[in-house]
Amino acid sequence: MSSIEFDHISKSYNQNRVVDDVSLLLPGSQTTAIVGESGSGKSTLLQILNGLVVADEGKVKIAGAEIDYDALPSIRRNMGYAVQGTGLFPHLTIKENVTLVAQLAGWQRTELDERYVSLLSFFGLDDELSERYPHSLSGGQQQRVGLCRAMMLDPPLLLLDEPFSALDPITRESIHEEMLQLIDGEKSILLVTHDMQEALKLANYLVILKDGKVVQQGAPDDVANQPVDDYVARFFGGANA
Amino acid sequence: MLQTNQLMTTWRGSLVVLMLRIIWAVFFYLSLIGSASATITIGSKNFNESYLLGEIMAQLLELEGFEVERKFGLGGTLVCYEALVNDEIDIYAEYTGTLSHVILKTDDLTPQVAELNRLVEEQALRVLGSFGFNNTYAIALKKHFAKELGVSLVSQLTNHPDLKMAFSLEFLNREDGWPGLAKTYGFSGKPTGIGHGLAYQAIDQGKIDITDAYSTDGDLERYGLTVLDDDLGYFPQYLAVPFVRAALPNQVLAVISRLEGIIDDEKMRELNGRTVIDGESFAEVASRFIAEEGLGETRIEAEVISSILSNTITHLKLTFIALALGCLLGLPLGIVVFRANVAARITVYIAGLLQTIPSIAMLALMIPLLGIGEVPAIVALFLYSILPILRNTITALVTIDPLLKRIAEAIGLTRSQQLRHVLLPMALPTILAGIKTAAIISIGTATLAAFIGAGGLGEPIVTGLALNDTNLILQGALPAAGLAICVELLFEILERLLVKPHMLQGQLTD
Repeated sequence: MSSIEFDHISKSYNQNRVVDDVSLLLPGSQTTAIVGESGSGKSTLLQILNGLVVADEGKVKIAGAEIDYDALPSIRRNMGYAVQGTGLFPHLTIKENVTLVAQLAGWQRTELDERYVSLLSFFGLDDELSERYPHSLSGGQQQRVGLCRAMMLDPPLLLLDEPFSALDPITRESIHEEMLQLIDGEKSILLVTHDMQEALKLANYLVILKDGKVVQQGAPDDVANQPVDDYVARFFGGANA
Repeated sequence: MLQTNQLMTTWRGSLVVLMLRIIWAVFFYLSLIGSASATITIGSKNFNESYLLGEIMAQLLELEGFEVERKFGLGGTLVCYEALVNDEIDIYAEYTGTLSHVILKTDDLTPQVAELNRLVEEQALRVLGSFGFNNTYAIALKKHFAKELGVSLVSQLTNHPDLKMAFSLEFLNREDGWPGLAKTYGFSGKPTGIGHGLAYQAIDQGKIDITDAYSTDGDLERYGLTVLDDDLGYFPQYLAVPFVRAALPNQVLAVISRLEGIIDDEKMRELNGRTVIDGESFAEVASRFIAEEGLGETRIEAEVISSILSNTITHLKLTFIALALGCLLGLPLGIVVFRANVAARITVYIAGLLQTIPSIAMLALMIPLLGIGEVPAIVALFLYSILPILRNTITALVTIDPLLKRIAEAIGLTRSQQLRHVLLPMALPTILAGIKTAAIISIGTATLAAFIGAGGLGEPIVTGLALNDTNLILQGALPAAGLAICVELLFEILERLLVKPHMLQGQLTD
């Protein structure tokens, strides 16, 4: 539902321009993959969206509204966030990890339990894990729990920062399948990845970043058929191989 | 309905009475702490003669119906003097030489009471007539050895330059100690430094020949030592005198004056000997002395168990209040400053600076500001407890995985929710460890609080050290060690209750 607009966004760290004059207009209800090498600024771009990073220049609009930096917590509750390495809180059980924000947001017990159980079964997680702590779960299970947490409040926008890249190929494959079921045409998803195969599989729009600049964007087929330069072509070379 | 109303009224009434009682009790207690006009507070330094003189004065006053509070074992001349000037104590036994040299900084070798009184008048203090003995420095050696060598005068030592000399560090460094003595008598030997208590053992085992002593030291008898005659009159006079606040009522002064001139050198040596050699308590010796001198019959209560118990309770009180204050400041401060790198550094530096002040010096620094007793002791312990609590709080919060901090923000937690649900629970093991360290440091340091009259388990330790009485030292040291272990266990239980076992892994390996 949420359209996203980056309007001449720039961000530097110690005179190093990580995001360089990026302008993007992403309509809602689509899955956009932002693809680039490490250091291309793709994670920073994502964090500018949920206010973890504040841009030096430019404007960001979500569903037509500029980010109100005084109301970040409530804005962020409308954006699921999942990252590589899961970021599960070690002192909380699996259930507590997933439902923390819902609890703080004052959800009813039954409503909360219902949502939690459905998410768990959606990602093929056993309810027996609920009272366990993250350290006792496998990497794949932890990653799924991380996605459950991002989805708990049923946000219209999902920000995924390479959440699948540390997984073994088989686990990654099966989570990809689950994700594809999730992409039902309503949610807007922004996926940051360096894996073009993953991008092609999950996304219906590609943005290629290099050194903080957008070098190409468009439908996957268009980008694949007409890469603007070697940098873009190389991503597909890897994907086709 | 009526009944209920009545019930309510009586219930409210008794509540009001209860409140008033509590308020009254608090004020009563505060007034006791405050001025205690009806109570005479007697101090003493931390060596046995000073304890004894203090106890004799205390018992004599009690005999005459005065309320007496004892603040014995204060850490040295300056502590006692400051306490007297600041109305924390009313009386203690001082020495004319010490008054003259250490407090008034004059060069007078034979200070007279009248002259001293002129000098302390300005401070509203008074020196009463001497108890009758002169506890000055003396040069001591074995009786039979002195006979063999045929020495009885200090000046004769120049004929025996090969004698092994070892002196207490204080004597070696004091102006009126070794440097002046060597100059006056023309000694050229190089004495070594030794702890006073060890010197007697060393001389007993023949490892050294000569050491310094106090002329009324009870140990002289025990080790069969004799003192040489100071034939050139080098050592200043140290006549023992009651040193009092001039504002004391005349009745009190009259009672104390009864002690004037009734204790000579030999008598004092004997009284000291009874405590040091025969192991009698100060109270027993003082009581017997008062009876022997026909001054009256005193009743003494000496219960080891109850005194250990009350010392332990005082000790716990000091430690607990200081620790609670430490937490009250350290935790919020750590939480406030941890996000700001510079502020965090500065506060940790300041807290670290406080920690480097030696405990004795810290306690001494407290006296001019807060006097003596429990308040300055608690403040000193509190200052020591800040660093471990503050530093562990800051370190624990700063070192949390940045990814988890980022996630806590990104999933939409407010700042206080981040703290409450993520940061603090994760930091808890390390914060608890900091509080535990502070508690154990406090228990150890609180034993020194006895030097400024705060009581606690340091009291028997300080007294025991003065008497070289291992038994007494253990009465303080063992409960203190026990407390430290209990606290350790208590925190372990607390950890188990508050922290999930897997969160303790890799932490608290101490």
